[in-house]
Amino acid sequence: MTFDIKIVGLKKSFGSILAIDDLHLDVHEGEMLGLIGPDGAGKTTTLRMLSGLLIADEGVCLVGGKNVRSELSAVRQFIGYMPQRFSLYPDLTVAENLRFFADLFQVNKEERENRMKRLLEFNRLSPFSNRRTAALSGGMKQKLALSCTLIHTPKILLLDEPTTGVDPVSRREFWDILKELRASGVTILVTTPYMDEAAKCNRVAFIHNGKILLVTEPEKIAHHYKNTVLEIVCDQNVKAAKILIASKQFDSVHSFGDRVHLSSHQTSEQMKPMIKNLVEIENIQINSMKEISASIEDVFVELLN
Amino acid sequence: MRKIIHIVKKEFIQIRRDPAMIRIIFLIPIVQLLILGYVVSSEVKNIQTVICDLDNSPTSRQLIDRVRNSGYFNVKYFERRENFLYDYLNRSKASVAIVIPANMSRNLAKNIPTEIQILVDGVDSNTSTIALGYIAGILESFLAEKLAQQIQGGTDVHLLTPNIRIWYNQDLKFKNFMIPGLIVFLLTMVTTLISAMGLVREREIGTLEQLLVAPIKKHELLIGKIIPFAAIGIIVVTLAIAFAKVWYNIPIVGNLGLFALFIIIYLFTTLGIGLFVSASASTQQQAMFMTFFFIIFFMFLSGFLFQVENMPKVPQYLSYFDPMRYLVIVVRELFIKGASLKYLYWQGIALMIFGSTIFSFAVLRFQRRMK
Repeated sequence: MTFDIKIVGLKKSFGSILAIDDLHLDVHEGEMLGLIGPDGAGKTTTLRMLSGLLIADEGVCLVGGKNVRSELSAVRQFIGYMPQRFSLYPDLTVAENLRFFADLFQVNKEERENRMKRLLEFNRLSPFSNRRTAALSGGMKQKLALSCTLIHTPKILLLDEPTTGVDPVSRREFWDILKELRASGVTILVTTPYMDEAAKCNRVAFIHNGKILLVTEPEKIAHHYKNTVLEIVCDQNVKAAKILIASKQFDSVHSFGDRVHLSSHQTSEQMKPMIKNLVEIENIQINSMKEISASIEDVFVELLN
Repeated sequence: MRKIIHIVKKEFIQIRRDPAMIRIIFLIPIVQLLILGYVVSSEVKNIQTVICDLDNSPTSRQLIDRVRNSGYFNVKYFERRENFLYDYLNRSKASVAIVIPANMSRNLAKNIPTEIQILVDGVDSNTSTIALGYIAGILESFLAEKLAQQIQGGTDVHLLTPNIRIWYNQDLKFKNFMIPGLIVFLLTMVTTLISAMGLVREREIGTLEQLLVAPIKKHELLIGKIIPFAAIGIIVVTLAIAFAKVWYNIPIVGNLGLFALFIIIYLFTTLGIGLFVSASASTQQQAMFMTFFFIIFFMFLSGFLFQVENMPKVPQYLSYFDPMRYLVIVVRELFIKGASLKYLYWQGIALMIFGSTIFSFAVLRFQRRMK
């Protein structure tokens, strides 16, 4: 049995809204695939159909080689699904929540205590095992939610934006845990709106309007991008971006925080003097200007256009 | 089976942790019985009364004493001027006015028909009807006595005197009738509400979704959720009966085992309604309003507060669809008369039909909603 995921021709609509439109995706055994896309792209709907919470209008989901539609109870034994808002019982303690989910998945008593101990240590929650869940921080709740999802040692993990609303330190910690899980052979399908998180996956899939636009490895993303990308750091980047857009000389101009990215089919030698001219007339000081390889964001923005 | 136990266990931990829940279970039956017990069983007593005695004779004073000593009337005012009586009623100083005509004792002696005028404030029609009944009773017995006195010494006449004997609830205590009904109402309210809220709460905090991706069957989940609610219902009703017995000294003539059987049958109905509500509502607030919608109909149509026989035809027919009606009958028959099963089995059958229909309907609705 291979613990992989195959989605073929998936379709789902809610009323008149087509949420998933002929979606195809393969997740290989033991890999971590990041599903990225804007809000409303269909990430959550896809995961809910994979876990059997929603029934697809058309298409097939094979999880671990089993059809989710017809062999759901078998599928549920080896998948772990962590919804965007994983809910724990706030009035139960950390240990009681874990124990409850272990019991639901019929983990035997001895094994249960072993795993609980391991998971609590692994997620650094051991000191809080007798604390009520309501009194945990957001990051700790997410880690506990993951522990509850892992208590039956699933072979395939479906994680829906696991780090949304979690502080940066906890986010990094959470991803370290995922990395370890992947190393132990668990297949992971994770959705995220964060591009930096997507870069940590083996492969990323871009989803938009219910369709997969591109599946690639983060390192190869630049290959999908034929243009030259320049990164400019200047003292008034919003104004600079406006001027550059208005000039209509470049394929795309976007400001990302304190930087401006612009791409063009021209070489960087052709672009640099043009930019300088356009910007410095307006008394904007350019601090640096260099060619960079396209990031996931660049590719994503281009794909959306 | 194992999984059901795990759900039940989890549910009990949550109940134990929730101080509000503990209060609902232990305080509601006692506090509500303590206060509402007196409210629902309040008899018409202490009726403020004004008397205008125009006869002013030993006979009329005798009559006034009768009214006073009946225990129902508080004769607060005496008024000599008949046309001033309206004032007492208008200002709500009194709700009953009795006018004894000037020639009453003379007419009585001469066997001439006499009319005693009684004015009643009809705003509270219930109280006034009851007051009229009391007065009629007092006058009747008074006149019968007078008549007997006159006839004596004459020919040998036997007056027909009714010899009334009351079966069941001998001291005619209203509370013996009302409090068992109140217990049924409490049971209905508590079990319907908590079962309605219980599942909606899981939906609201989102844990329901987790339960649905776990390898647990929907019926296991349902049974596991419902057992603790049934247990709470049984605790509430037990506490309520014990309190009614100790505090109000309610007679419990019937078989408590039989009563327990009826309660368990009835729980299918209330828990079923709760389940139905929780399958339909998305928030606890919605669940609460829907529950009250049902409970209010149940209460008013059940005959617990208002006699079904006194209702207009349409609500009377509707009351047949009120499961609470049947348990109210059962509990009154059982507590006061000690009726045996053979007098109650129609109620039992009705409750079983309600229980099985409502419960299966609710389960179907729940399963459909969870898809």
